[in-house]
Amino acid sequence: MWKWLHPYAKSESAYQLCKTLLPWFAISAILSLVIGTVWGLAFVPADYQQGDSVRIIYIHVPSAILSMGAYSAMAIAAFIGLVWQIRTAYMAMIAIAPVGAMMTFIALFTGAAWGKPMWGTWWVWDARLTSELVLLFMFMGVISLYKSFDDKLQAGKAAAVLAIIGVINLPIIHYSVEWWNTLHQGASISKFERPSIANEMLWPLLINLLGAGLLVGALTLKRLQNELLRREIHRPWAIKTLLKEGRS
Amino acid sequence: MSFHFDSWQAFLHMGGYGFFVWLAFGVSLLAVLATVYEGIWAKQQLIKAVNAQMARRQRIKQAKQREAATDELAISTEIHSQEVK
Repeated sequence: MWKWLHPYAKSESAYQLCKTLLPWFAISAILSLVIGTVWGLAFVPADYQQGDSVRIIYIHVPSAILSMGAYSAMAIAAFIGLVWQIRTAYMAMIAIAPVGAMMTFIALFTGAAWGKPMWGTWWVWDARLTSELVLLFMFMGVISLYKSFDDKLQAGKAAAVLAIIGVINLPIIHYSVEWWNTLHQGASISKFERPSIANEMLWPLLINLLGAGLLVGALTLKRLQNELLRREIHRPWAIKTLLKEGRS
Repeated sequence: MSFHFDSWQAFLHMGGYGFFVWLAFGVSLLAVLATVYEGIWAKQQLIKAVNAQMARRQRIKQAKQREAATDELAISTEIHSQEVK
């Protein structure tokens, strides 16, 4: 049933697939991020309590959700690599890691810039903020562990184990606002039956969420292409590709 | 749906929260651009590496040809000198 998927584990086919998908991801990411951000910044009315500072939500929430989404994707790639011994899966794992770290950084930074005017402080050591900071360290740990091995198959295995262990942090982040008394507010849009957010605010937020997802996809595709070429730089297909793209 | 602010000044001012809003959006944009740049830069490095690899192969090939040519020359002079004797 899943046999059609197997050829894509081959480096050259994986590279070609990334190359075909990349422009679609990139263009739709830019489009939705521009629409969502302009809508959120200039057209949505200000919050009756938080005033215009609430506009930070249009990057804070999508980046926070995608930081966890990217971690899940990285852990799934790590799991596939470990279980089915697929080299390409490790490359996908390490391609996602810095993109996820970037999303986590954005979530933390925008949170700090929102916290200062609303809570009166850039940072507190409460459960939600701390567990999200741990997520950033998990991403960095995976990247550094991968970088510290010269044998990239060993590197992939070691980093994959770490990535899978770190999954325990995801439910902790999600439920931190329920399990502990935090300064951070509870969930606003993941309550599907009745989201506690006005419709006119929800739409740009969802568009930016889509855009952030597509952005993670586009950056990962680009980085996976690079990783495939880097690992196979002595193979004819990679040499041919690089020489061709170096001329243009 | 209409433009929420009265003027561009009001838009930049963000009801007093301008610094925090633009700081958040600006730094996020920089972080995204840095990651995009990293992807493009890494590809350039790979192209450079493959060009260096090709140049090295070319040099080795030329060196071998030169070696072969000098060997031939040496052999032919040797034969020539033997003939003279």
